[in-house]
Amino acid sequence: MDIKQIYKERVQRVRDAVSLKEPDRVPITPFTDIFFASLQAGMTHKEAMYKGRKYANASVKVYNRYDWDLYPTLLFPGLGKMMDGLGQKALKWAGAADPDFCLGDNQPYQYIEKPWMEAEEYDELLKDPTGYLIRNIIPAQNSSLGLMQNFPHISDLSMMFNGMSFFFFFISKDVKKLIKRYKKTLRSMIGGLIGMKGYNKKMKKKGNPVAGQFALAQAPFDMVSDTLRGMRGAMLDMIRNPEELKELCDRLVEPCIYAMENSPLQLGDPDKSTITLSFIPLHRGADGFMSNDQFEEFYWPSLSRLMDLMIKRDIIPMPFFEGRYSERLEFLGEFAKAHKAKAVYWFHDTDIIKVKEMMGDHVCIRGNVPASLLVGGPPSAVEDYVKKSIEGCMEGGGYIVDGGVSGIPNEARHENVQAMTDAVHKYGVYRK
Amino acid sequence: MDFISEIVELNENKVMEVVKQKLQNNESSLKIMDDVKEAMKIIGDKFSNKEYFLPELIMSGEILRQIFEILGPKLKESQASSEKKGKVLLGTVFGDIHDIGKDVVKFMLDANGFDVLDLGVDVPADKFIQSLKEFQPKVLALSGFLTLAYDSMKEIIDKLEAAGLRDSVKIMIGGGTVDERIVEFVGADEYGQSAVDAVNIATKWIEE
Repeated sequence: MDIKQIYKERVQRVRDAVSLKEPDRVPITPFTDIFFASLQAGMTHKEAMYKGRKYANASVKVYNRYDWDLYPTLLFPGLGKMMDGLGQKALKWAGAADPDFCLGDNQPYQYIEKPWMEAEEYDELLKDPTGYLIRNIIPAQNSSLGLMQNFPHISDLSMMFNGMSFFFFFISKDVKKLIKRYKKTLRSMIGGLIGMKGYNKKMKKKGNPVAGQFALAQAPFDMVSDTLRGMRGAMLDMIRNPEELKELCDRLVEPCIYAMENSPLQLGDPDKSTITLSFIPLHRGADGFMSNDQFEEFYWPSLSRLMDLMIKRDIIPMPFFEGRYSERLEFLGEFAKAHKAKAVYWFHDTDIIKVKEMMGDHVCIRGNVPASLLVGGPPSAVEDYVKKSIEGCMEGGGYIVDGGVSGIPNEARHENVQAMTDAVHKYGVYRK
Repeated sequence: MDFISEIVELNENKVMEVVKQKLQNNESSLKIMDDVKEAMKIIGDKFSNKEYFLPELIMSGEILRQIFEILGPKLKESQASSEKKGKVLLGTVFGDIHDIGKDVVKFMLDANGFDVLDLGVDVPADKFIQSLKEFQPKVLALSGFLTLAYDSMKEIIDKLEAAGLRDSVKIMIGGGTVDERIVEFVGADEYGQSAVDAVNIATKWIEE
């Protein structure tokens, strides 16, 4: 069969599954954690953070081993240089120029969670979110952007002559120096950019569709918890400042949509003939983090509104329900019913066969081969798991196979990933 | 409402008011601490029963911190003097800097009367071995969120084995991507899905 035909069939398989129609076979669309391919190719995490082109080439080589229906989007390779340029302080990674933020060569990057904003600052933030983020959060999280503390108020532009003070900010010596430095940083990332474009092109040439450059979205509560207040702060706010917290979550919905539509991932020349599933990794909504009442009051309203707005813009939301969501299934089911065949629910530690029974008529389910099996194996156990999941979920379409956590974990062994792939081809066939 | 209930209900301002009042009335900080401990035990139970979740646990920790601030060093003395159920050595394994799950486990073990030594995050194998020798716990609790933690846990347990220490402790593992399937791979004894499991498993082992 010719390559173009194979490509088309693969994409169609995924489209059918999302539309709740039976394709010819259950699709397999691993997301893969960021360093799976580079580790398989023998690169360290440090190399993966800094050698964008090598990282992209390793991805082509490693992913081409597997017969999948959608291949992972390459998140921007060579990110280390940009983070050094920014003086990023919300993350630690291998090879960071600042020793305080440098992890070992073989450690994946990890977020630093802390309150970047104090509870007392809600009023200031809610009065002018853009201004607050520019003048407070950006300098706090990026040591090279201290200048942003003096960033002029956008409202200056609306006043007679005051637009001048807005523009004068940009001709100050320090700002000019900063821009110059950034240009240099961006130039140093060119290899990564070329690698990213090359990856998309080479994969397509082999008939391997790369998942649409899905712009990332986040549940507004998680944006507050991850990047503004820290989990501890956000959870104290649930008790001490509930109204402010809810208002902030609600106000973050539209900016999230805007950020998706302007994702820097577009830089890689995304392939328009594939399918885009918008990845929404959820953090604090899982069972155990909060009660159902709290979930309903604080977490779900802004998240469901965000997903609803995405669907209205023809974006397919793919919330990743990391952890266990057994207690939340009624909320999830209700949303699926109101948005039939418009989303993909990706599960980690929730019983997907039970989910299929509950809401399989309304939403496509993705998941959930455990990371423990993909790392620890043995391949026969991986095969058994995939077989059982397919048998429980394939009826009527609406099921996609992927790993449970981050798709394929960084440390997954090749033979286990191969077993997962083979099992889909062996047991997932609807019709020859 | 009595003092214990005020803590359990997380009435932060009222609790602090009462503590100050009690100190003014020359009530012993040991007695205050006994009440606080009782309240924390109830909060832990409520967490086990799924009446309370992380916001309440974090809030109670915040109230505890404020009480600590007022009672100061006296509190530590009273803590040291109380009898503990058994020793648990706890830490997030090397490579991984996540602490949320580990901290919840620590809170629950503390609330249930265990003597917990928390080694923090990104803890290397040698540090576990050294602390195991010095602290001599009955239970070792290894936490990890990232999938790299599997290999770290395996390495730590292999090293314990090589040092002839494996049989001196029971080992439980837990955290984001850890599950029961990985127990054998890393060479641990049991997996706990939640902090409540951690308390139950530790209790079972201490009583054995």
